[in-house]
Amino acid sequence: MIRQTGLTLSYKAAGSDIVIDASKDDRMVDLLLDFNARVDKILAGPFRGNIDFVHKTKDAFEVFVNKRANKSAEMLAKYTDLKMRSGSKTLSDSELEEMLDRVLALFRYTSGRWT
Amino acid sequence: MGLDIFRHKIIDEDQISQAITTALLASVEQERRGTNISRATLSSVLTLLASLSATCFSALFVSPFLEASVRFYQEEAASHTRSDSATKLGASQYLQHVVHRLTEEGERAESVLATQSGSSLKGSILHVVETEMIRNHVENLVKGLPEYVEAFAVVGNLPEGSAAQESDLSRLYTVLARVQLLDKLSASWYTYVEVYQSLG
Repeated sequence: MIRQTGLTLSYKAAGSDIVIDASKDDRMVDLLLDFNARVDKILAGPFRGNIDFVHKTKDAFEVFVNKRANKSAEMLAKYTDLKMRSGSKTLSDSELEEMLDRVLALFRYTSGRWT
Repeated sequence: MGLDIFRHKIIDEDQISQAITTALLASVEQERRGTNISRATLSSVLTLLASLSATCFSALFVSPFLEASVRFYQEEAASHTRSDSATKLGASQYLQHVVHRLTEEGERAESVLATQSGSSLKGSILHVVETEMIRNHVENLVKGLPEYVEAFAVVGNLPEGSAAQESDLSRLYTVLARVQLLDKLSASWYTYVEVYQSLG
């Protein structure tokens, strides 16, 4: 099901592509956040919150987020740092908090499987 | 008592009963192929048969109807999915066609027999459509997943209650839930989330 696209990969690229493609590093966290948000919307809507789909999604995230050892964790940390410094000037407290929550949700996948 | 005589003298005559069955099946097939028929006539005949006896109704209508329906939907599914078919449909069109047929068959069964026979008939015919068009073509339906997810990015952002809210993604889930094959969809979904790269 992997399709080669040629020169430019779409911003809508999923999973592994976001993490593996080094040219995307500066946008990695934004792409991951966007992808995570879209996935959540699909799980809640068309997939009716079906728990099996939620589990499969978590499994898939754990696999692809860890594809370049520690890279995503590093990018997430940098992103958080950046936002904390500049964000407090441009974002409201609740916006900042919401953004941190979303980043944290991604961060959790990078710890690997403990269960 | 009158009905008994009717049954013995008329229905039990093979030529007559066969003619009745043939006419009923032809009527349904015409409507499936898009020709208008007289629902009133169909309903009257079926109601009459159903009132005679369960065996009569089953032998003259239900069994031949379900058999003919299996063949009809087998052919229809094949014509819409075989790669060399002139009427082959894309994943999304096939999915929407399946939903259309399910609705149509359910509505017909309910409208021609407004009794317990009607809901039993509805269950049986929907089972035929589900088996021949969904269960036997799961791969065809599921392979549309990446395309439906891309399309959802548009639909999913429409305001709540908007007419176009019903997405193919949602239809796919509903259709597979009917035949207890959601595990096929969740497996495909896993693969999509993990590895899929979209077109630019």
